[in-house]
Amino acid sequence: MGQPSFDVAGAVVFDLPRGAVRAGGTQIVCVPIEALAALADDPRVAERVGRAMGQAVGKRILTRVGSSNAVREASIERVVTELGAEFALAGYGSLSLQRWGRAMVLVVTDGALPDPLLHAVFAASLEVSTGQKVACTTLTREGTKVSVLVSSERAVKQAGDWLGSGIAWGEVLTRLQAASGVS
Amino acid sequence: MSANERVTKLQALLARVQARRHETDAGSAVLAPMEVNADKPAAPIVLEVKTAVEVRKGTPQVQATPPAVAAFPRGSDVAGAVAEFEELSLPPEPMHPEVIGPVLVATSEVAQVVGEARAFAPQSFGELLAATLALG
Repeated sequence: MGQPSFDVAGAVVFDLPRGAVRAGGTQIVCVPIEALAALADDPRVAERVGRAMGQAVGKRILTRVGSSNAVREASIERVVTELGAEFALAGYGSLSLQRWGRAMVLVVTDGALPDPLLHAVFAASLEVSTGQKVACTTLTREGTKVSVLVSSERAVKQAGDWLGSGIAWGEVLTRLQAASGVS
Repeated sequence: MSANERVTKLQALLARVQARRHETDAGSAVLAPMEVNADKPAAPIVLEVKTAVEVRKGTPQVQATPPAVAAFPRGSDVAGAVAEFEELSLPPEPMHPEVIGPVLVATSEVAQVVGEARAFAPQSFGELLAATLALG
């Protein structure tokens, strides 16, 4: 089985005569990072803007893969490639996925988005593309690399409480699995 | 090169071959069973994005973990094997000794849960998504 790939041809179109930029047929604008950072100062604004950005990502993935069912049934590599390509094209950073037992951790290296925006982008893009509601929280930020837990709202809140009390993020992941009593 | 140096070099080579065979047997790194000890958090499996934009090539990276060493028999060149993994990628953070706490290892129930997480090998993105949503 070949590695999933992403054809970037035409993914972003700069229509200079019209002064327009389009991604996946939708008009976009190139915005300085500082402007996004300023938006993230207000959590509610960050949530709304981040979700709008993530929904656009999710819709483009949905268009390419076909349906929410198809996204859920796709291989992990395929979805990571789709989501990672969207991130790369948008300038959000280099994406990879880590699986810690049953926990999904999305890792962005050299990312441009502040945490509140990043969480909202991840959540909305996954919700739109898979049809399932998810929540996100940052487990750790080391230099230019940020690791984000993807889980339910309840688990993310629990993880946030543990992290806030000083528990190491690796242990938080272990505790979540123990707490779920999954079998 | 002395005899000892040759032996050391051969052992390191053997360890690398074993490491690659270990990955090959798993089919691909992403589907490999997790090596989770009851006293340590699960090690991550990393999927690198393969796109025309992201021109990284090669197999998905498996981050260095102490459990990976368990694949090698006693007496083999474990240090060489670890070095081989570490060349690929370093773990996101060192294993914290506090993870080996009584809360995490005191009951067989917890050990069982972690063991089950270790054996978890999702075949699709949806399966992994459902699993992570069921946490907590």
